[in-house]
Amino acid sequence: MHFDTTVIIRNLPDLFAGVKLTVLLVLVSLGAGIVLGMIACLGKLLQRGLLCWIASAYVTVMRGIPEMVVMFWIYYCGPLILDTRLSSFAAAATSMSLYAGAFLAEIFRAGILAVPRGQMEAARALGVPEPFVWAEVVLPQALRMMIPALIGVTTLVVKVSGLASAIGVAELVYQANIVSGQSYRYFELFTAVGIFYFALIFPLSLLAQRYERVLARRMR
Amino acid sequence: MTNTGTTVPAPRGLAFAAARFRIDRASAISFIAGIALVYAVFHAVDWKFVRTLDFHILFEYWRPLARGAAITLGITASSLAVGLSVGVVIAVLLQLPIGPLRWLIVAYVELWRNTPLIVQLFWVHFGLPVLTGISTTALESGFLALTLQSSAYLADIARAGIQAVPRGQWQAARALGLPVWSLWLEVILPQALKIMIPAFANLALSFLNGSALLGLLQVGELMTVAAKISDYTFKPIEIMTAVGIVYLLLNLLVARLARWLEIATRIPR
Amino acid sequence: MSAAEPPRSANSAAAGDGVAGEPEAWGNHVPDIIRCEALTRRYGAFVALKSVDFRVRRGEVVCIVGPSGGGKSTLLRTINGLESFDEGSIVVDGIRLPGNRGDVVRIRREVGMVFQSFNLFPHMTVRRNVALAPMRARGATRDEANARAERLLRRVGIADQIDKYPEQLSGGQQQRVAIARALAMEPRVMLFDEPTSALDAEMVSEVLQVIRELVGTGMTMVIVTHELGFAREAADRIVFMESGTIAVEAPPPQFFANTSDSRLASFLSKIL
Repeated sequence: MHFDTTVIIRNLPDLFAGVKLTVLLVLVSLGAGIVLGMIACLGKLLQRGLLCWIASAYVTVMRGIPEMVVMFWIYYCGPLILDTRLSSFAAAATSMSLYAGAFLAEIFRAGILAVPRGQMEAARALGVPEPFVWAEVVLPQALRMMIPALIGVTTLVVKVSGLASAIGVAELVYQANIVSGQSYRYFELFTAVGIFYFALIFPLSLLAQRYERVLARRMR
Repeated sequence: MTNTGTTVPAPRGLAFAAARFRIDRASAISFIAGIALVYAVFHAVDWKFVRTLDFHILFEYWRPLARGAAITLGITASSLAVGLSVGVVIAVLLQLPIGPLRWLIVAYVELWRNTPLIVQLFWVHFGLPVLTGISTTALESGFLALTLQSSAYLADIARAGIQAVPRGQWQAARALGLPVWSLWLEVILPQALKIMIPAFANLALSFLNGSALLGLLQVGELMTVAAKISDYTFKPIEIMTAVGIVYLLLNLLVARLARWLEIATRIPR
Repeated sequence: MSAAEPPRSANSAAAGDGVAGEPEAWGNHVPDIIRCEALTRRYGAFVALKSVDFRVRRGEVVCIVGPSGGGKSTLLRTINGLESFDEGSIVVDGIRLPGNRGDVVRIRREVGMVFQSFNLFPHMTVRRNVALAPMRARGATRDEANARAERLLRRVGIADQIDKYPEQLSGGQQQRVAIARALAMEPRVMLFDEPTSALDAEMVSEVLQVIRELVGTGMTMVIVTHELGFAREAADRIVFMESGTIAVEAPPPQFFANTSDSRLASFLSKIL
C-alpha cells in the first residue's frame, strides 16, 4: 500500500475546523476549570466546614471516575435534571471544566502548601498586611512551583478533548472520523491527526520537564 | 488572673489556612460559601424529575454490570502487566550505550505518551489493519492500544525507578563480580520495582479510568454495558450514576491494593 | 490598657542611626517595654509555657538560653503574635495582648524578628527583601524604602550584594540581610530566634559581630541563643528557661557563677 497524502490535503478545511473547535474547547475548559479549581482549593485549605466537605467530595469523585462517564452523564442527564437544553459543546465543556477543576484544585493546594511556612511568618513578623503577604510572598512562590503541573493539566485537557467526539462535538477527532469514513483512508488521516496532537503536546511536556529540572536545582 | 481563649484572631480577608490563626473566620467562610453553592445547585435542579428516577433497574441489570466491571478490571490488569514487562525491558535496554537504539526507544515512548488515547485507539483499530492487513477485533485493538500506551508510560517510570537505585548497589554488585543477569534480576530490578510502586499505582488508576474509552468500540467492558443498557431501557441517568459509583469503587479497590503492596514489600526494621 | 505609657521619643532605641540608650541611668524608673505575666501555652496535654513572667526594660539586652524544647522560642514568638497563648497577658510598648487583629499588626511594626532559618524571600532581590515591609506596612515610597535599604545593608556590611538573590549569598550574608530587613521597619525591639544556629562555624562570628554592634546602639533586644560566650559579654541579663519555666535569671557574672540551681549547673556543664 502507499501512503496517500493527498487525502489529508484534500480534507484540511474540515480538519482545520475541527482543530478550531478543539482549541476552543480546551481554552474554555481550562478557564472555567481554573475558577472551579480555585474555589475547591480554597475549600480544602480551610480544612473545616461545608465548603471543605463539598470540595473534598468534588475532587475525589472527579479524579476517581473516567472523564467519559462524566461527559456522558452531563450530556444525557444534564438536560433532564436541570430542565434546560444543553448543546454537545456545552456538555463537553462543562464536563471537561469539572474534570480539569478537580486536578487544578489539587495542584493549587500543593503549590501553596509547598511554600515554606517561614516565609509567611517572616512577612507577618515584619508587619506586612495580610493581603500583601499572599500577593507578594506566598502566591509568587507557589505559582512558580506549580508550573510543571499546570502544563501537565493542559496536556491532559488536550488529550481528553478527543472524547467530546463521542457526544457529537465536531472537534478534530470527530472530523477525522467523518472524513475517514468517507474515504476509508483511516491510516493516513489518523496518523496525521496523531502527529498534530503530538506536535501540540510534546513541546509542552518538554517545557514542563525542563522547568522541573530548574525547580529541583533551586530547591537544593 | 486568667485569660482564656486564644490571643490572635483569624486573618482578615482571604482566610487561607496555613497558619495557626484559623478558628471562626475559616469556618464562617466555609459555611457561607458552602451554603451558597448548595442553594445554587438546589435551585437549578428539577426535583420533580429527580423523583421520577427509577433506580430499581440496577437490581435487574446488576449481572451485566458486574460482568462489565470484571472485564474492565481484566483488561486493565492484563494490559498493565504486559505493559510493565515491555516497559521494564525497554528501560533496561535504554541503559545500553547504543545511540540509535536509544533514539528509537525515546521516540517510541514520547510518541505514545504525547498523543491522546482515543486517537491511538482509532488508529490501531481502523488504521493499522490497512497497514498490516490484519484485522483486529475490538477487544484486541483495545488491548493493544492500552498495552502500547502503558508500556510507554511504564518505560519512563521504570527508567526513573532504575535511576533511583543508589549508585552503591551497582558498585557493590560489580565489586562482587556478579554476572550481568544476576546484577539486573537479583539486585537492581527488585529495588527499582519497589521504588516504582507509587508511580505504578497512579498509572494503574489512570488506566482503569482510561479503559472506559474502549466502550466507544463496544469492547464489552463496563462503559459498553452501560451504554447498551441505557439505550435499551431509556434510563441513562440511573445507569450512568451507578456506573460512576462502580468506577469509584474500583478506584478505591485499586488504591487499597496499591497501599497493601507498598506495605507488604516494606522491610521490617 | 496599660497605666504608664512611656513617651515614645524618650530614650527609645529605634533603629536607623540609633541613639545610645542608658538604661542604667534610669534605674527602676525605666518602664518595661515588654511585660509577660502568667503566660501559659498548651499543646494538648503538653504545656510549653507554664505561667511565665518575663519583663524587658527599654534598652535592655536579654539572652534566653536553655535546653531544646524548654520553651525559649515559644516565649519569643508569643511576643510578636506568631504564637498564641492560652492564659496570661503580654504588653508590648503599651499594646496589650490578647487583643484584636489591629493590635497584633501594631506590635509587629514595632517588634522586629530574625529567624534561625533566615526566611528571606527567595524570589526577590536583597534590596527588595529589605524594602518591601517599609513600603507595605509603613507606606514609605519606593525611593525612601530603597534608600533605607541601602543604608542598612551598608551598615551590616553587604551593600555590594544588594542586587543579588538570596540563594546567591552565603548563610552568614543571608542572615545579615535578614537583620537589615527587620531593622528597616525601625522597630523598638529586636527579637532573635537562634540567629546563628543554622550557620556554619566560620559565619557565626560575622553575624554575632553585627548583633554586637546593634547592642552598642542601645536597641532593646531579646536573643534566644546557644552562644554562651556571646551572652556573657553582650547581655545585661541572661535567662535560663527549662521545661516551660524561667529557672534562673541574672546578670552574666552571677549567672555563670551559679551554684544553687542544679538544672542550670547541669546545663552549663554540658555546654561549657
